[in-house]
Amino acid sequence: MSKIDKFLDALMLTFAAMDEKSHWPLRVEEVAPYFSDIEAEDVLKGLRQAEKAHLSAREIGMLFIGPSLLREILPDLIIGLKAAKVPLKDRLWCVELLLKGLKAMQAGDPFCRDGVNALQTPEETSTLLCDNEWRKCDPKTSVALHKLSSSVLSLLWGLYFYPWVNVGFEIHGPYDSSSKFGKNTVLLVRDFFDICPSELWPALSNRGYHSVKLLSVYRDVKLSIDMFDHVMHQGNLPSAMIAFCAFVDGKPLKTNEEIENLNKDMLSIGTDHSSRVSQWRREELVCKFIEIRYYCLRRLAQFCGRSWMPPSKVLSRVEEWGPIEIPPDESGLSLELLKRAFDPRDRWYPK
Amino acid sequence: MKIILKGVAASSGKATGKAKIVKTNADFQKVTEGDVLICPTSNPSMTIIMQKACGIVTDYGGLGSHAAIVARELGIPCVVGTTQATQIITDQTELLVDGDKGVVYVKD
Repeated sequence: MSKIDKFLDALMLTFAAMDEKSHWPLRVEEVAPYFSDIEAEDVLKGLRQAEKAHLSAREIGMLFIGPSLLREILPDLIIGLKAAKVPLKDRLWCVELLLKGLKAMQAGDPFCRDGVNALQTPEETSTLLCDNEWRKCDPKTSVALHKLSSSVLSLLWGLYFYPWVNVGFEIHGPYDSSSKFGKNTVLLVRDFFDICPSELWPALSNRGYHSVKLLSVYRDVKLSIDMFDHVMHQGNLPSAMIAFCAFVDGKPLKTNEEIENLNKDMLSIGTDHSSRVSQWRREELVCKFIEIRYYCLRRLAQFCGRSWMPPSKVLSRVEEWGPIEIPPDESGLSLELLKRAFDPRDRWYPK
Repeated sequence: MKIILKGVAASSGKATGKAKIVKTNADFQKVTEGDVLICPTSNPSMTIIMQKACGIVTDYGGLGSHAAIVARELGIPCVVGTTQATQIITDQTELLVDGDKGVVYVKD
């Protein structure tokens, strides 16, 4: 099976579990046509430059922030390559290079088909388990910590919107933690590394926090992660947690009071922000959505020596073309058509 | 108890509580600790009331929707994609949310 087939299989499995109607604040199809062909040509140029500069596969992958974001960006980029009428040979070169970059950033299956998003080797996990001061978990602390995690995740949805939310976090694992915590224990790392993107949202720059990292150890729970960092499990996650380390801006959270206060702050920042965004006019939402997409590609833009902001020709399309309306009851493309759309070998894409 | 809705089992567990229908931000104040949150779909500004709820039921969404992800983190049952929860359930109805089977029951 080729890398592209493996990618498509994993993608279809993940999409099968989703529902397009839940996207907030807009659906990707209402936004992507404004930028996808222009963006794809720029990405192609950037990758040619990266190859010329002899960047390693991992360095090329890291131009897209991290593995989860690269997996999120790739499907729309493939449609963009088709919309830009990039020849098959170049489409395949581009996608295969990015899949190599993805593989180089992962310690396990690049598409998480085994339910693991492995960014660390067993040795690195062992070091992480030994080097940290772990706190044992009581039910109250566990509930507080999972509330905090849900608040930070929601804040990130508000900051980056649904489709490319992984520009701000990576959830990785589950890793075997039996060497430190005994049988049937696993470690899950929630790394919310960019929760204050002030370039994107200048009003947030005085709200204080930049990153939150939660290392959680669970016992007797079957955990898995799909290719877009969705954590799936059977049973009750908070009650399965036995130990943790929590950090805000690199400093450990030592008491329940600190965790609860941070949760209140995250809820407050997230609620204020999302409530404001929900009141925006459609055109403002579309422009910010596009800006977020270009923020995802900022390292590539910086490598190429250009501004990461969307080009004016993309933003002028928003005005010229007007809104792209998707009927509210439109259920979206079938899985069969999605697979064709995201297959770089197939010329078909939704117009 | 009789089945009132079926949907996608998005977060496991069972919980009982009074239904609170939330369609706009103005409805947030209705939700108190231990209620069952009923909404068309959730968005990030609703996290504050999701943290009070004992269960969540939505009209739309799948396993990757905001409601499903937040409910799994919180360890509360969630049934998504019922298509008509906000139309057929009324405020204060006593419900049992079964997040293992993806079923919502109304108490007799």
